[in-house]
Amino acid sequence: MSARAVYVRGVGAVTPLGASWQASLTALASGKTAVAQVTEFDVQGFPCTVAAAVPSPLPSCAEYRCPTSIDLDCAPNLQLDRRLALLLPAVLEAWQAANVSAPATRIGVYLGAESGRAPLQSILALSRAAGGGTTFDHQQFGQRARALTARIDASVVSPAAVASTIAKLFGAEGPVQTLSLACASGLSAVIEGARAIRCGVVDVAICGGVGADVEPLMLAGFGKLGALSARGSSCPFDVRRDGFVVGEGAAAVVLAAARGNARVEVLGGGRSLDAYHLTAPDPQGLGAERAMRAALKEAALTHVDYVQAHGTSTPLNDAVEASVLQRIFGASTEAGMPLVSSVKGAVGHWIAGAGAIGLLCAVEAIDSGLVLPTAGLQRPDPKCDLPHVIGHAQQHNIRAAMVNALAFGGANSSLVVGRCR
Amino acid sequence: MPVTRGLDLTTFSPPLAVLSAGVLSPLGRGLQAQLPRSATTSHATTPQAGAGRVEVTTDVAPRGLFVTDLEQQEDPASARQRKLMSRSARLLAVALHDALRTAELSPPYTDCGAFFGVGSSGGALPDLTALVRRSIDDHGFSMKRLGEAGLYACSPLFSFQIMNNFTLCHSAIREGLGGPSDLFFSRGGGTAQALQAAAWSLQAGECSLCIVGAADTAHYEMTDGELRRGGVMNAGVVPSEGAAALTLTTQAQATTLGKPLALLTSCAHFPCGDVCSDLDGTVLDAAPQATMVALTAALSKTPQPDVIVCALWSQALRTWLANQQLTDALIINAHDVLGEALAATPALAWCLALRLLDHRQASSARVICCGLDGAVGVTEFQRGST
Repeated sequence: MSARAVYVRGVGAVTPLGASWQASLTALASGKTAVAQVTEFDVQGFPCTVAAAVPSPLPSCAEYRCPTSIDLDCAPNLQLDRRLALLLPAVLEAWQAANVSAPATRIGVYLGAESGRAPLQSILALSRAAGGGTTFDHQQFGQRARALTARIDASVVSPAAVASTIAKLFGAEGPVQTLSLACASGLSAVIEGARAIRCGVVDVAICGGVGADVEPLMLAGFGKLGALSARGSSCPFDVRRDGFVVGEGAAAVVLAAARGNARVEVLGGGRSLDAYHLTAPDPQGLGAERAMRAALKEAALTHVDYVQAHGTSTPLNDAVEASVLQRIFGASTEAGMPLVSSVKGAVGHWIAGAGAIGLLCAVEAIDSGLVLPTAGLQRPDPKCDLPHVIGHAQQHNIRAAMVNALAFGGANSSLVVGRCR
Repeated sequence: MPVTRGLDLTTFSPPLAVLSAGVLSPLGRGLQAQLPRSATTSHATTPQAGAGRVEVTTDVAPRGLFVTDLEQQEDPASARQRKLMSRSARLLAVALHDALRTAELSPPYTDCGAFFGVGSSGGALPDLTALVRRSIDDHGFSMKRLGEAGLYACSPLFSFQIMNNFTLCHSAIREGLGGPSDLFFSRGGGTAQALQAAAWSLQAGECSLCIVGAADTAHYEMTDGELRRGGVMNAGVVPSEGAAALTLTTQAQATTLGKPLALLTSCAHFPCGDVCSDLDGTVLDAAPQATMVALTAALSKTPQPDVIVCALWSQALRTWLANQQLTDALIINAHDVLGEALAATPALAWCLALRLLDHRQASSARVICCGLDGAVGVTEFQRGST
């Protein structure tokens, strides 16, 4: 699509390694990992007992350095909704760095988020109200549980509540979109925001994603699925990898039609469906390949210098993604293979926020030349034969980079960013 | 293909082609069933066809409208697949399959995009109950018991099922949809955004065929709880459910595929300005001014179509509609025949409009939706021709 360029004006993040993107960078560059034993709740007996959690307590409202234009009273659930508590500082960091201005109706919000969680006490009460037996008694639920549902605050559990609150806080009266595509949510949200700017729907787009899944039900559920690392290690592309590690955090970018001082722009996005399996990637990676090629096509590129891979540390995903990258950028490309790394070795898998933090790594590589390593990667799997960045960050001249997000259920998103043309 | 953004709507020039529709609503399965009539089995009422008249009826059953016999609906899903599906996923499986089948397109659909509005995925509550029951120790919820026993009592897919893309995954896999995809969490407004995203995707050449729509049920226990907590049930909402899917392509592509069912001439999504809340109670106090401005503009925009289908979530909005000075267009109050199916409401209303276009030999229809999120979606169709 022709039309307007889309510039990355500001980035921000809250990660398990830092309360801001700038604070996280040093730890990420050194190859540090935040994966550690879960201490927030008892994980005895869980298939995986580690996670990459943002240290508690999260900053209180008073600790946010908000501009006076932002009224935190508009976010009464800030302390109740962990997704919002993670995302708001990230958006604030990105917004302040962006230094953009536009009419309120020309500012849109595009966020990737899944449902929040009701408190376990409420779930327990509801379960008991539904009979508490071996089956869910809908009749009992209807008779006894309705009063209890008052405990489930929609503004805390609804996926849309996060984007709605951000829109209110930042005075955005343009489109407000919540993308729910599991692990591809955050990156798809950025693609939608970029598209809205290209099409002239908005001039400024607050985009990103948040994952807040270091909690018992998700840890238990993903563990039951067999997707988590039993060894307790997130080491994408390593021969020892045996599953992903749940992480949490939020990443935000402010995109704009006006270049300002931006040095990075969004060049192209691509999406696809695997149409293969609910939880496993297509072993041939055809869907992922379609998304990556579509992103390159829209960017009018055949090559990038760096790929921030989805790289979950699961045996199949990493091998499939590596084979697709080899097909796209391999021997037939004169420029050779791009550098590859995955931030999930350091901060775990943020699910709905995963692609968004990957994007920040790619933007950083173009902006400062700092290519972050894959933490935990020591012995690359021969099936994942790629130019990995191992150990510490490297300095390179990165002109364009690709970010991948390959989701449960087979939704794939790829985004290409590059130095401003 | 240029897109001109007018005062009210994003207009497609040339229009996009709607090849087919698949729909499963309280009115029945298929586009032919979507004509409102006095059917006591579905509690549906018949809007009186008359120029400038708005029918506001209140005799729907208070417990809501349902898609009956969902389990008996035939589609290619295996028994095992059906067991793994949430109700929304099952509704969508039927509608999406019907849309592809009636378009008489041949698989594979590797190039077919999928853009849908979805609500909460509807993770199986019996699974949650089983998990909790096995996690009780000394009359309380024990994390240790959860790890040791609770998690083994539920489906391996439990954590995945509570992600909202679960609604589409089954259908995408079974039908082999391989194109671009976006799922918008929707209380109504997001579904219009799905249609916009699909249109943009076609115009950008990202895919040559799209399937677009929504599926949702307001009867899912957790959603029901949310609605009650938010006071929605007191605002004249008849909870409902359904799914609808349209196959969409460019007119150039449509000429090789036969006469389109209809043409999509424009669509728009108006956020509700400073009250972008989601069931936090704010929208219940009064419709935000931005919503009313958008509704007024959508209703009065000229030239008037032959048919206007309005799906407005609250009784207050429907009463406002009834008091408007209206033009000659036939105005159908969709809520009274379809209820409030949240994310699915706009897509069901599109199908109602398409059915009316055909039934009344009308040339144009406009669908105006305002969901619980306060956003307004406006979609315009013309009778099909190439």
